[in-house]
Amino acid sequence: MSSRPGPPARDDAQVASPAENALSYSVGGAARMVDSVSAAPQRDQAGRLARVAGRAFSLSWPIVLGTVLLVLGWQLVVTITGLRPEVLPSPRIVWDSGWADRSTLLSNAVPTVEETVLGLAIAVATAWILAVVIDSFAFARRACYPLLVASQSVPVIVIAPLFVIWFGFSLMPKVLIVVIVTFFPTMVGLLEGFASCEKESMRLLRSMGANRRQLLLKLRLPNAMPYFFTGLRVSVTYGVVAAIFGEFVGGTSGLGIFMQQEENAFRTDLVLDAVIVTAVLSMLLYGSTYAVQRLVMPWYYRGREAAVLQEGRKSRPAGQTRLTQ
Amino acid sequence: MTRGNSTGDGNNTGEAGGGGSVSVANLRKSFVHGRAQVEVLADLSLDAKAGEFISVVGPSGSGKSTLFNILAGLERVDAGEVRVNGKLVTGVGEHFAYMPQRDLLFPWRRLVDNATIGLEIQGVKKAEARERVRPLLLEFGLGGFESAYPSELSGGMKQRVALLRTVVQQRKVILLDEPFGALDYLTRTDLQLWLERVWRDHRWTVILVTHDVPEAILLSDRVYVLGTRPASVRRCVEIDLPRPRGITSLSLPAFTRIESLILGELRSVMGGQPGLDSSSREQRAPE
Repeated sequence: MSSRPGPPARDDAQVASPAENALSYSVGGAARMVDSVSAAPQRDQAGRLARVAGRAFSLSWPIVLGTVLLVLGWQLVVTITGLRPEVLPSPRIVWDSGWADRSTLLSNAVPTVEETVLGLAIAVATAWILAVVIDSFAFARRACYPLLVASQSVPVIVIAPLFVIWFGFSLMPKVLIVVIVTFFPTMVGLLEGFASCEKESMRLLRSMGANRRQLLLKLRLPNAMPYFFTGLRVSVTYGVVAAIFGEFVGGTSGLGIFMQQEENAFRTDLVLDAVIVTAVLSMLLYGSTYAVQRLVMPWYYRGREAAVLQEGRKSRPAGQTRLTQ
Repeated sequence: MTRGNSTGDGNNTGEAGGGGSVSVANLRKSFVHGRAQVEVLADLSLDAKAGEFISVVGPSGSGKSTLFNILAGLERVDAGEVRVNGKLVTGVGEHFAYMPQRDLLFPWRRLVDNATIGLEIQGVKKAEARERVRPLLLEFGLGGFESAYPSELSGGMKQRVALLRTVVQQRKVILLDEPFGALDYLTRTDLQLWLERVWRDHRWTVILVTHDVPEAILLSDRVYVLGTRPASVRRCVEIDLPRPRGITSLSLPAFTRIESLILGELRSVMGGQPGLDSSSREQRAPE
């Protein structure tokens, strides 16, 4: 039996992945909740708090229920099958060992976060530059776009070891892997956003005498912002995984290394702890895109409020019209 | 600056809000459509003196939009000429400010910044552009809504912002392309009456393209009726109704006489052929 801990451990990882999905879904829900809460018109404090609590509950109970059911099911499998903790530890064991080793988990999470954030930052910058260049020059579109698409079909499994050969065990190869994995969705989002610009709006600005730079800055860029954030969210969800993969291939610290080491030591409970930390990191990053979007595009959320408030507002413009008549 | 420009202002380029005279002579324009050459404008001529409000009505697909695209500098002519204040105009229209049927406000810009976009394109600093727009906000019924986003405005307000965006560009001639076509009847009437009043105060030179015959009559000094494609002017009707005009003008005997005259002309132009107005470039769904 002791010769087979490897495969079962992988099964465990798969068991945990629905949890990861469910958890990251909950962040989406939470972010939406925050939106609608601040969207509500400000009235009295108590009523507002009550509504916030009500909204929070109505939006969060499904994910709470889902998580509870998942943990219960997990426990049930452990109880019924009587698998040894090296194969499938119970939720309780995973929680306890994770709490006991929290400082190690944390110190290993730091480099992973660094790689992810740095990689994403470079990826977003790259995506913007490439998207603007590809959009601006037909030649660049024909020359680069196919190559960029092709770059996405090269398996990271192949590229990652090459990066280690070229750049050693430093931060660089992991950051590069994150960049390669994550720039593409953001870039495609931006390009779609540029292309989605209404012809009539372009004509209007051109009739005002706008040059290409003004068309880009005043119309095409702001118009592309919702698409950018859609792409960014896809990118961000890949970010942490890409960093961990980079560490797997060649690293000295980080959650990837931690997972590898604990897997080799048959500490399945700690591997699962690292998986949970990874999921939480992804959730935080994903949620933060909504926070940034809210700051960058307040108009986008105002529009949604307006749908709610329209009825109340409709009377006002008419009143204003009368005044001037 | 935009107030009371009732006379032509000669060579004072750009600074006078819509106070130029415009003369369109013998315009011809055809498009290549597949293998066929489609003639859209044939010998189209019209005039507006400084501070005049003229309208162009015609069946759908009669080339009204093409005319505007040419004036706005978005299309080239095959033959003919456009003169503003007597001077020949070529290329992108620095003399015309264009207001499309749809408001096309940018959702990411607040009301005041939507109104200033044309000035910004001209290179006017943002703060100065806002200062130029501000005095007009109240008159346009937009006071207190400067910081609202378009999604928070009613359809009528959006259209007034679009008009504000057009007039603050300080062009010599204002082109209105079915500006109220997408609005409901009440709002449309409201805005037509309002526009007549605001125009009286400012005396911009306006060319209005519309399907709405009463709108053309209510607002204009002169109405040009275009024929079917290829379009030329079939009839030019002077509207001598007294100003100020208002809701009561609609029921004047002279108003209804002119209305039936124009409608009759349009019907004869279309030759009673249904379907002539289908498949037209100018038909746009109201959002």
